[in-house]
Amino acid sequence: MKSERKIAIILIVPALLILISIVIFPLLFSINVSLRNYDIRRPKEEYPFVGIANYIRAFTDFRFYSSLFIMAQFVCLGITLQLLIGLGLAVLLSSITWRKYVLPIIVIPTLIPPIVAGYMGIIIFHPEGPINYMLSLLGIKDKILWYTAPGTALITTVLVDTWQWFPFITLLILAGILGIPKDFYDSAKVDGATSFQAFRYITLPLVKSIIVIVVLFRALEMLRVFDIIYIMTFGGPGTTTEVVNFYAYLTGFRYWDLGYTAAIGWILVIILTIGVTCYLKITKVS
Amino acid sequence: MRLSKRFLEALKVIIVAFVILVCLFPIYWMIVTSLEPWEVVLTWPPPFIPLGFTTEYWDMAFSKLFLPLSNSLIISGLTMLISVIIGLPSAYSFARFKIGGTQITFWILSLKFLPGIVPAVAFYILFSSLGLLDTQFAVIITHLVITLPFAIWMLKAFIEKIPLEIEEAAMLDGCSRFSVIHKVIFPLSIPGIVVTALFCFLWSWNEFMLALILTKSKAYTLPVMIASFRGAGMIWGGISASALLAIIPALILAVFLQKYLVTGLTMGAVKGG
Repeated sequence: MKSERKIAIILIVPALLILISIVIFPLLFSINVSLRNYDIRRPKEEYPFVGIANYIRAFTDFRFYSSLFIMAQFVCLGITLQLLIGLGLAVLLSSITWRKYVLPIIVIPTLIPPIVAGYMGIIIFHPEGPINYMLSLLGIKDKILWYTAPGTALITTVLVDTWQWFPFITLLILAGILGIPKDFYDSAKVDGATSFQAFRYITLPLVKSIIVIVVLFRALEMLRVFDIIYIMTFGGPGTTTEVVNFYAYLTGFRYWDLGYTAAIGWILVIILTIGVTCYLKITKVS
Repeated sequence: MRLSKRFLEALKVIIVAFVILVCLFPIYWMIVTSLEPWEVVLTWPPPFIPLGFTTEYWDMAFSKLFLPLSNSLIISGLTMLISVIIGLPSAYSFARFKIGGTQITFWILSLKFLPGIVPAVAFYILFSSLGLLDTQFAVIITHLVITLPFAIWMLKAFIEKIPLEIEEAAMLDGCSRFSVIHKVIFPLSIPGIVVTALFCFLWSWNEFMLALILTKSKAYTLPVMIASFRGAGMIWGGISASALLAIIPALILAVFLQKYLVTGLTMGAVKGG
């Protein structure tokens, strides 16, 4: 039995060593960076220790608050849209027999590089592009400046993210629905339930735990949205689409204040951790 | 009653057809854009079938693609190999010996949700002081931060599905623990290994932010190249052609990984049908 334990440890050592050196060490190092005035343009010896000054600066930085607020808008809008479309489509697909021919097509958006999805957004939502043309056929003659106007830029990036990720939610909820035994629906039918009642009292409660997990997965991904913003709007116009992750990138790799970037990154980690803990408490799913 | 049922079926077909159209139209639009001569792009009304035809942009894309394409292939390929080779033994250990309990495995899971900007800052400073910025090595290391935990978690889920009895029988027949792994577990988990490897490859292939931060003119990947075209004077045809090449792995995986997508996208957090 003792040799068993030895084997277990031997097997785990390579992965653990690598994870420690490429995860734990950089994380500790980035805490160190976040406590310094780490302007990389200065000579090597001049990164003075400043304590929690970078964190305090974040709490007085209007642009940081604004980026948090934009991130929250992005996540809320996106989750709502994606969940509604995903749930509706999953229910629809669960009722058709030829879905196995449809699924490989509709998962394509989820698997392509987000940077390409963003580029597609640029050409599709271009003022002279196909979306505005179709709207003009419907009578909306004004060319909407989708991602270059302050009022519509954020929602346009949300639409692109939704295009990319609704299949993910559809697929997962569909897997949940298909896992429900058919007898449940048969006996509900015998009892005279309408199909809406069957959805409300059988499907929804049984896929609830999946919805909870899916929303968590998506929210965690969307909180870090970067690629679509980078290619479509670069945070603009003005700062209307400047989400936290993008602001952190700008401070570090455009203004070269890496200490502040690390601090923003860690604040984001703390927000994520608190958010996830509360979310799991409220929804009571482990 | 009959009629309304027919109507409902027709409605379903229409909605599904619309969804398929929405999914595929942007890809179609990129194909059109990549084949159109310069004068036709951005004319009103936008041409839904190419007006005129040129391979100029594909030639241009191919002439510039060699470096980013080979970088992307090397980085994704090596990230995939290292993740699976290093991940497999520890996944076995987690699955069979329950070593470290659930704490350590959940810690590994949580790494997937680490905001990339946090390690990126540290890696940028470390690699620049080691003179390793703008190398494939730097990108591979940072990609492993995500793909290695992912591979461990996925492989663990696959190994847990292999019945314990098979191993016990082999051990009763005198196999050592290592030959059990080599001769029993490894062959049986090949489908799981392939699926995990492909997901690691795709993740690394699609990744943008870390590659953007850590590379400049030598080790940049395909997404970085596509993004570098942004701004005024975008050459639409050239970007479209490059972007179409960048989605090829996704198209292949959409067909072949259909059965495993649910597991792969959630790392087994949701059971797939």
